[in-house]
Amino acid sequence: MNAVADARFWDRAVRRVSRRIHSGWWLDGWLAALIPTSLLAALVVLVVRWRWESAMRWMPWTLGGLLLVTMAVAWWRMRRQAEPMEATRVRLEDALGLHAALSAAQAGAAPWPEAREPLPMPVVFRPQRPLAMALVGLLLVGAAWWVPVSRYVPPELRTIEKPAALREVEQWIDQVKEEDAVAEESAEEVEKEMQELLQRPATDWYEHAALEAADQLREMTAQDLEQLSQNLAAAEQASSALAQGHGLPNGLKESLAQKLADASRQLQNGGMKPSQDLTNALRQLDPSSLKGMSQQELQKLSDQLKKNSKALQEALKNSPNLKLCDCAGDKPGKGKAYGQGGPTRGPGEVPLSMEEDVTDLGTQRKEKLDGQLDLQRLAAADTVQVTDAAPQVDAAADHSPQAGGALRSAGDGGSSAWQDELVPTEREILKRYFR
Amino acid sequence: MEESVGVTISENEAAAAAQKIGQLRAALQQVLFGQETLIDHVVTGLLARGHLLLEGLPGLGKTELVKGLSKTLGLEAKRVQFTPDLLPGDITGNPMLQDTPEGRAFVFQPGPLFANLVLADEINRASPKTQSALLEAMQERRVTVMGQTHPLPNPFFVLATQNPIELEGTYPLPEAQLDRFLFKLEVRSISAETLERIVLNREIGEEPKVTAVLDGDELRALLDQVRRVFMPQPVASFIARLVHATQPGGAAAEGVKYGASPRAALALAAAAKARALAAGRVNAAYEDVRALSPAVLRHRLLLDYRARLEGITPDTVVARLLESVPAQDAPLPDSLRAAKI
Repeated sequence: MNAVADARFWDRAVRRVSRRIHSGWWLDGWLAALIPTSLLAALVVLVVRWRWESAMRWMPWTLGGLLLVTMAVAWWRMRRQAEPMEATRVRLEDALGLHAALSAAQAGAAPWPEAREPLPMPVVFRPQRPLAMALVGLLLVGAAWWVPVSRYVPPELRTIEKPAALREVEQWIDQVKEEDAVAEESAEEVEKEMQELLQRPATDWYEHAALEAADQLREMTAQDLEQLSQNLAAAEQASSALAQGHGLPNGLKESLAQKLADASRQLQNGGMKPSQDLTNALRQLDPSSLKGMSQQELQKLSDQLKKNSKALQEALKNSPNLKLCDCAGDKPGKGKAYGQGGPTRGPGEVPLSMEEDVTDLGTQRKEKLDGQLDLQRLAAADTVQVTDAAPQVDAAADHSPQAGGALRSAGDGGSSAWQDELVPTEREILKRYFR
Repeated sequence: MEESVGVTISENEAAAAAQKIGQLRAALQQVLFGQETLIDHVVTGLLARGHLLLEGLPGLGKTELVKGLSKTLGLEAKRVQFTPDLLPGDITGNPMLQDTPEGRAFVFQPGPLFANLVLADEINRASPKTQSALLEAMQERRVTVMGQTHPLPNPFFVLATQNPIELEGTYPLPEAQLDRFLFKLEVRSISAETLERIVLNREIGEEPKVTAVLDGDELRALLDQVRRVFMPQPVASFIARLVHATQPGGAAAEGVKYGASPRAALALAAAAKARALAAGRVNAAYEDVRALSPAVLRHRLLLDYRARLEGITPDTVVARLLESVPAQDAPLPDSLRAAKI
C-alpha cells in the first residue's frame, strides 16, 4: 500500500472514531433529556387520557415527534461540543500505540504508518446506562398509558341567584311598572337601591349584612306598596262617597273631604307614589275646595283612584304576603263585601274573622292577629298584634248607682261579652268551640 | 494548530542512530549486569545532553557504569570523590604562579571538571559552597575562576552519585542544583540470578574489558540528531499538561509542596526525543514521556511534611499524574469508554 493510500486509510479511521465519539456525545445529550422528556410525555398522556380521550389516537405520533425533537436538540448541542479531528487522532494513535506517528505524519514530519486491518476502535459503547435510561423512560410512558384514569367531567356552571328578598322586590317592581300602578320615579328609586345591592360581587350577596339590607329593602318596599294601597283605597272611598253624597250633612262632607285631602297628601308624599296621571291629578286638587268639587270631577277622581288601585291589585296579585287594601267601592254597599256601617255600608254580613284580614268596622279600634303566627298552634304567651286605638267608650251609658245584681248595660244578647271584652286568645278558643 | 516542522531527522538516520545506540547499550550491559533500565536511562540522559544523579547503595556498580561509559564512548572521564573539606577550586581548578617565557604569571590549572565525563561521587558529602561550584559548570558548561571564563569540553556530562542511607554529615543538594540534573536515577538492588552472573564473570579488582563503541564525533552527531527528532504538538501539549499538573492544588498533585519548573518540561521534551531516537523513531511520542517522567520529575517535586509522613514518594505522585493526565484532554462521553487494545 502506498503512502497516499495509507494517509487515506488513517484519515478514514480517524473519521470513524470521530463519528463514534460524536455519537457518544449525542447519546449523552439525548439521555440527559430522555427522563425529563419521558416525564413530560407521561404527563401529556395522562392529561389527554383524562380530558381528551378521543385524541389518544394521535398520541403515538405526538410521542414520536417529541422523541425526534429531543434527538434533534441533542444533535444540535453535540455539534457545539464536537471534538476536533486532531484530538481524535491523538486518541487513536495513543490507543493503538502508534507512538504519535499519526500526528507526526499529519505534520509532515514522518511517513504515515502502514494501514492495519482490521482496525480496532479505541472507544467502545457502554450500553448499560443508555439501556437503563431508555427502559425507565419507556416504563414512565407505559405506566401513564395503562394506569386507570377517570374521565373528565366538566364542572357544572354555578350561578348565584339573587337573594329571595331582592327577587321578590324585583318581581313587584316589574309588575307594577308593567301595570303602570306606580310612578316611574318611585320604581326607579327602588331599582336603584336594588342595583346598589347587586353591584357587589355575587359571592357577597349572601353575607349577613347584604341579606339584612335586602330584607330591609323588601320590607320597606312592601310597606310602601301597602301604604300606597291603603291610601288609594281611602282616597277612593272618600271621593266615591263625596261623589254620591248629595244629601250628606255638611259635617260628614267635611269629614270626607278631609279624609280625601289626607289620603291625597299621603299619596303624593308616600315612598311609593301612584301612577303619573293620578299623581298629577292629585297635585291639582285644592284641599280647601274639595267640598265644592262637582260630582263629575269627584267621580273622575274616584275612577282614576279605582283604576290605579286595580292596577296595583292586578300587579301584585301573585304576592299574597302583601297586605293590600281593595277599593272600597267594590265592597260595602256595592259588592258582595261586607259594609262598614254608615252611609257607605254595604249589604254584606261582617264575618267574624280571626285571620289576618282586618275586621274594620270603621271604628278606631283595629285588631288583627300577627300574620307570622300559626293560628293552629297558638300558645298562651304568643303575641297578638293590637293596634293602639282609643277604646270605644259609651259616653251615654248609665253610670248611676245600680241595684245589686242588676246589669249596668243590658247589651245585645251577650254579644258584647265576646265582641268587646275578649282578648284574641279567648276569641280563638271560642272559635274552635263553635267550629 | 499549524506546526513548524523545521529540519527533522530522516527515517534512515534514525535507524542508523538507533543501531549505534543499541551497540552502546549492549556494551554497557557487559559492564553492569541486570540494570538494563538504568543503562537505558543513562544513555537517554547522555543523548539529551543531561547531567545525571544516581542514587543507590554502595557497591551496586555506579562507578563502574561511569567508567564503562567513558570507555565505550571514548571520552575523557574524571572522578571526584566529594568530601566535606573539598573546596570549589579543587574541582574547578586554580591559577598557579608559574614561570613563563614572559615572566612569572598565574596560569590556570584546570580541575577535574575539565573532562567530558565527570563522576561526582557522593556529591552530597561536599559543602554547599563546593556543590554550588558545579552550578555554572552544569548549566553553562563553563567555569569562571578569578574573572576568567574557561569553557568545558564538549560534550560535558556530570554523573553524580549519592548514598541514600548515610545521611549523617551530608549536605542535601539544594533544589536549584537538583533542578539542573536531567534525571535522578535510582540504582536498585539486583536479583539473585544477576548476582550469580556477576560472581561467575567478575573478579575483585579486575575491571571489565570494554571496547569503545562511539568516538567523540559520532557522539556529537548523535546529539545533533536528537535535536532534530520531531516533537508533535500533541506530545508537547501532553508534556505541558503533565508538568503543569505537578503544581499544588490539583487532585493528582496532592501532597506536593512545590511542583516542577519549566526546565522540567524542557528536560522531559529533550529526553523524550532522545528516547525516540534510541528506538529508531523520527518523532517523540506519549510513551517516551510516560517512560521518562519518573526520572525527570522525581527530584523536582518537593513534597509537604504530611505527604512524607504518610510515606508518599515523588514516584507515587508521578504515577498518579500519569494516570490522571491523558494524552489529550478532551473528555470521553459517559456512553463510551476507552477500549483495551
